Amino acid sequence: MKLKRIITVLIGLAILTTSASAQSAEEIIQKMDELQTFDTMYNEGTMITEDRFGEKRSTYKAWSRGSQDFLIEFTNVEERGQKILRVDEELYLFYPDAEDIIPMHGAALKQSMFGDISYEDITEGRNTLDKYDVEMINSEIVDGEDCWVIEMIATSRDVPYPKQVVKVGKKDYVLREAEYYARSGRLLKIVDVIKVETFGDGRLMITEMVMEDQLRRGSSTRMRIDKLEIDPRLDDDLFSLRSLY
Amino acid sequence: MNTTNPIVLRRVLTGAVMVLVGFLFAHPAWSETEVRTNLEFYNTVYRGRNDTWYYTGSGKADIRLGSIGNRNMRAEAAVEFYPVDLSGGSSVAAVPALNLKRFWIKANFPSWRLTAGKTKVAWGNGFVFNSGDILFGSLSPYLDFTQSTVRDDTAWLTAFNIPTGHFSYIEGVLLPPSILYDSGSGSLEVQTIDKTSGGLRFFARAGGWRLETGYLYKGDAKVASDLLGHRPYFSFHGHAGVDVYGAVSLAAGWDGDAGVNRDNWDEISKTVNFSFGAFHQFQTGYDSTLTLRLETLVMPWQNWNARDYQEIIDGDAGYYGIMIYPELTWMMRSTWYTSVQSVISPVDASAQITTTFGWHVFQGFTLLGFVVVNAGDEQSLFAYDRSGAWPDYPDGSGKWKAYEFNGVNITIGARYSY
Repeated sequence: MKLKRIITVLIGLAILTTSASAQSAEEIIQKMDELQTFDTMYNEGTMITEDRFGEKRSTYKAWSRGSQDFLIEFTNVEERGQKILRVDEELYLFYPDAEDIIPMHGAALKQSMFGDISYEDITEGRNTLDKYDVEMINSEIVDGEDCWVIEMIATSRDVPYPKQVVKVGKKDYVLREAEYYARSGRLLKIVDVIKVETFGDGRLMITEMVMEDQLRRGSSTRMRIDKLEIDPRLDDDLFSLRSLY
Repeated sequence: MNTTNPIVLRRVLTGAVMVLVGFLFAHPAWSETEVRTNLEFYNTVYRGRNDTWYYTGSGKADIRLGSIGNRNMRAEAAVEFYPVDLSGGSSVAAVPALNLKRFWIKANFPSWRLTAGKTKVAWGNGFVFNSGDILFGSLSPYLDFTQSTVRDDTAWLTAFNIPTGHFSYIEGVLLPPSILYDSGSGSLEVQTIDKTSGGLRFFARAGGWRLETGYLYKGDAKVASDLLGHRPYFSFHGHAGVDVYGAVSLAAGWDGDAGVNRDNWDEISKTVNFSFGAFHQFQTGYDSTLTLRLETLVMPWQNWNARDYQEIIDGDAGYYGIMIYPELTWMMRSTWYTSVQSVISPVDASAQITTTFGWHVFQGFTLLGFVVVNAGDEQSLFAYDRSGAWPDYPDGSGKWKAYEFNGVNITIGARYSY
């Protein structure tokens, strides 16, 4: 699931509760998937890529309903007004200069939206176990947190990273670290969770993480939630073509 | 003669104002202005007539003032500046040219949306060839892929968009006649009301396919080689292993620009045009993608034999029966990309091939390189070297300049948005 886990968590889909009774790898992953769904949510965030040429920054506003309906609007100067709508398994892009709505299907969803992040990454529902076989490896302390270490092997070639190792807090089901590997077994990227915040009803959410490219020294992507509202009232027609124009 | 009672009129206006005020206060009404600037710089080496080579600097500055903060109101004014106008549109070629490219508002009422000003409305489906784009006409084979946007035409219009569901709507559009510039007299000419264009389209989903159909009466040309008169169209977009899309349209009735009344099938059939496209993307490695796009434009009742280039530029030859657009783009880490785009004219066995290299170096800043090469004989649409057969100027109204593009162009440039 390469970045899917990370970005969907960050875009506001990954609220994780505090009880941890499930023990098998499948149950843990399933639990994480279940806990990432909300009735409605609104968030504003920033994605920053850094390399030796400096920093590139995108900002956005995002609204979501359940696990499938999303509307994202970019707010940084270069991309201002570009919108992405996902409803009923369909994805639409709106480019303000072209005044055109472009439906996306199949492979087109894999187009890069920002850095390593594809449209599919940022909008897909949670179906991790459909794409990966998971296996509990061991336990490990990550930044002082006791974590399960789970290996995930892709069941199809339709994912960019054939193997991942995720480290999930035993206490709260919060993702603490993730590693992405090539088919050859070479480590490609490492994700570090920087900040986890508690929200009103006691739920935890990752609000900042960094993904470092292991093949290019000094190259990383930082993802940060700047503002979050859980269960806001959203108009039904927010998730319609009308919101794109 | 009918006259309107001023008291009744006042009441009606007062009621309308009350409704409008109520609506405005029920929604956030504040807006702020955001300024966005796009700069493009190009250094170009190209071959002109008679095998003479030129080196020119060119570019474009585009300043946009957009509204932000109010979800019910959007507005934008965009002005383009060109350092030197080589188009012949101004009396002094060295005078910088200015173009008010966009100038519009969009008001989002509870049950409909209003768009007014100079902008565009995208009808049909297609990247390069789009038979459904009857407003602006995406049929011309002369394209410049070194520009940031292909077919970026705008016009003064008023559009009403009425949703009929979450994924369906009806849209009406009205376009006033264009104000024409007479290069001979240097004056502007306003056209009569019968040159007005207007129409309606309906968009809906059906079984995973997006379908749209509509009609436009086109009173005057919005782009070169436009087709006027009654313009019905149908367009679709869906997925069948790869993304597929297409459209069909025709023109009937009086076409003042062409000087023909298309009131019989022989004439109408010449305007029937189909566009088809397919798009697919492959992942090539962990952080690169390969994109393929193939489009074609078919006009079955147009020319299927090669014509003399003089007839083509005079407009006597019409269109060729088929044009093809293939595109191959490879993108690496969202930072580097290279693409090959081509407009192919199979009828006269010629093509224009554009190879592009791009590097997104810093935020908003992209370095670019283009190589444009024509492949075809001197009488073809895309001649590699037309030096031996340069045609007469259309209508004998002028003279081709020595610096006209002639088959080969190499450009290095940059774009910066901030």
